Amino acid sequence: METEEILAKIYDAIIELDEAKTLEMVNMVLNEGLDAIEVISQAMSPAMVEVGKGFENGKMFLPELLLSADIYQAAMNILQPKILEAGGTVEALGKVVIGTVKGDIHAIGKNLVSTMLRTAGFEVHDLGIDVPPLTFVAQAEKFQADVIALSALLTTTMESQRVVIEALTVEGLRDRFKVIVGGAPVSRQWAEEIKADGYGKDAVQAVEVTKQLCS
Amino acid sequence: MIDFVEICRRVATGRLVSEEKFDRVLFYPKVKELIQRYGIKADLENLVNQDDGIADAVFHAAVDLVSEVGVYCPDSQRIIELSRDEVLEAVREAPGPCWFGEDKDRKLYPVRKPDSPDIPPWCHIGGGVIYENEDIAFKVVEGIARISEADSISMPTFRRLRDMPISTGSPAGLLTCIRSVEVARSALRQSGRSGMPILNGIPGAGSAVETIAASCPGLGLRPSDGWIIGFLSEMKVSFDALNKCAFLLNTGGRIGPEGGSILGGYCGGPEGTAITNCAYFIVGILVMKGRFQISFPTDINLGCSTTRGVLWGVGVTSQAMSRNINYPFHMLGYCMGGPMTKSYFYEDTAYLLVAIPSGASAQSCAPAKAVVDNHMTPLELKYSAEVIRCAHKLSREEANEIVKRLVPKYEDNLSSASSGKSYQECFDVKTGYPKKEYVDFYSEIKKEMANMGVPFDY
Repeated sequence: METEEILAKIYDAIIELDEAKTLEMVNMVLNEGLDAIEVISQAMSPAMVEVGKGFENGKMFLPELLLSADIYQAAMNILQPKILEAGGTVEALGKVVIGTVKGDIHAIGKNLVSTMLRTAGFEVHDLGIDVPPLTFVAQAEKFQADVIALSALLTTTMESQRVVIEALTVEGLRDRFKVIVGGAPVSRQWAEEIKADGYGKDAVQAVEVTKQLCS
Repeated sequence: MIDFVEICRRVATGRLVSEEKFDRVLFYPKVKELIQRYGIKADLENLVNQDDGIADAVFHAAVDLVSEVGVYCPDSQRIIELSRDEVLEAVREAPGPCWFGEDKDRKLYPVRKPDSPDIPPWCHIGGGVIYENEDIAFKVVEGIARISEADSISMPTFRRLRDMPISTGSPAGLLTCIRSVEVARSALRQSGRSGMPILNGIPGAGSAVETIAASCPGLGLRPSDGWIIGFLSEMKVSFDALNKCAFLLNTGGRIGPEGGSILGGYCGGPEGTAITNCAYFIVGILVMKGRFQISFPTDINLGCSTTRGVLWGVGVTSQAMSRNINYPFHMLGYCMGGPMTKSYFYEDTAYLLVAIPSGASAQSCAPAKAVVDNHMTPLELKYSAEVIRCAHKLSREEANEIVKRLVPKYEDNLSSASSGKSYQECFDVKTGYPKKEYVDFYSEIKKEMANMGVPFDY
């Protein structure tokens, strides 16, 4: 099979959410000695972009997005060791600590952003829901994060985003981490008011802003 | 019907599964299977469904969903499993119409049917928007009480207590919950509608302790009011929600479960959104022992209720429930457009013309998705109340024709719709009455909607 044909089949298999076929083709790639990095950049990443677009325009749903991310990760688990063996590196675009702020137990939006950041190439540490401000700070330090991403669904919990930024300032760490905020009641104006570094109107924008903050 | 203690037992002893497994292995595949099992297909050109067969199929699929999947409790990580017989018993024993309020403001919240021009819907006005301070919140409640069409109100909340920013779960948050009840009742008294029922007096209450504290007799809430308690998406209930139920069931409070499926989320597209949304009603009766219910499906990407997929789900849900279960409920829409924007008025009208001829009662649609501080005023709520008060005169077929012409007026600009103007910009804060600019805007758009066929009373 020609290289282009294999790459096209991997691309299609991810979009069709066919894990078995994706992994079969990825293994075939390796057996035929093709470049693993090319597989990621030419087939897998474009497929994830397409899945993201499908989600954005209502043709795919959250469970399918999550499944595609699982397939992507399973394929990466095969490819990564081969890249390292060949002396290459698989560097994440950046490290992100993400969570829903203190007092808020809503997870769906945060999970969505978390998944899309992972598939975009970020190393993501998801702290879950109802996360106290200083936990964000401690975990960001522990994982040497580049970005702290704060989700809030309620108008009555978005204040907790401000407190995380205050906690970073109090700990003398404000300049060390970029902070991005999001969630239904959150606006660019709010992000500016609390001096966040970025604001994601939705998951797609959150990924774009995080990329900019890490570049 | 199984009682609340039995629900508490199942929360503590049900099948242990991770939340991820519940969402992705048990819930979503079952929703997909049920869509196939019942052959349900959305028609996004005709948003007011006129096929009773589809409405009934959605209802039966919802019964299957509840009995085959159950309700998940993230706190105990267990599934509250409910048998088919228990589900059908709850449907049979649904509580029927319910009286709310006192004195001249006491009214019966009806159970309606699709195409029922003789049964006007319950008209619930307001929403949990945050205002800068309690003085403005007070003015807004007074303004809502002046809306003669309103049967009940939701209390807004406020951003600061004295100069302190408040957040859920903090002592200031609890004090704000208490103050919001006091402000609501005080404003209603001052406006001459002291008996008007408050169906959601504690919008900021995330935890049970806040609900319990603010429900203390003497602060303003009465047994003739209603208490809104939310499910988590999808088909989940927290300890906090159950703790609120435990308190209210023992103090005579009328529980209004609140559930909204998310289109594009774990229930998939419009068909799964409708099935899941119906399932919330069944578990509202069975798990929370609801006396009435609020339903608010939304779109995962925009966070609003006025996309075609959500609107179709709203109509079918309303028909499925009103045709098959004796349970009062109202639909709550979230509009992208805010006060003094054409988008709000178009979206609001479309939403209400889908829901009410389909058998639902309704709440005034929330401007700017109820997430922008100060961005809800009594004037667009009055417009909403006027649509609620007349929409039942339309048949589903007549409403569908209007909605078909209305949705294209806003849908292409939905994602960039303006959040509009604040209360302070639209109203004279001193007098609490709208500025001329907004009254003129309202009059003009009402004329436009009347010309499109909305049968306003005046």
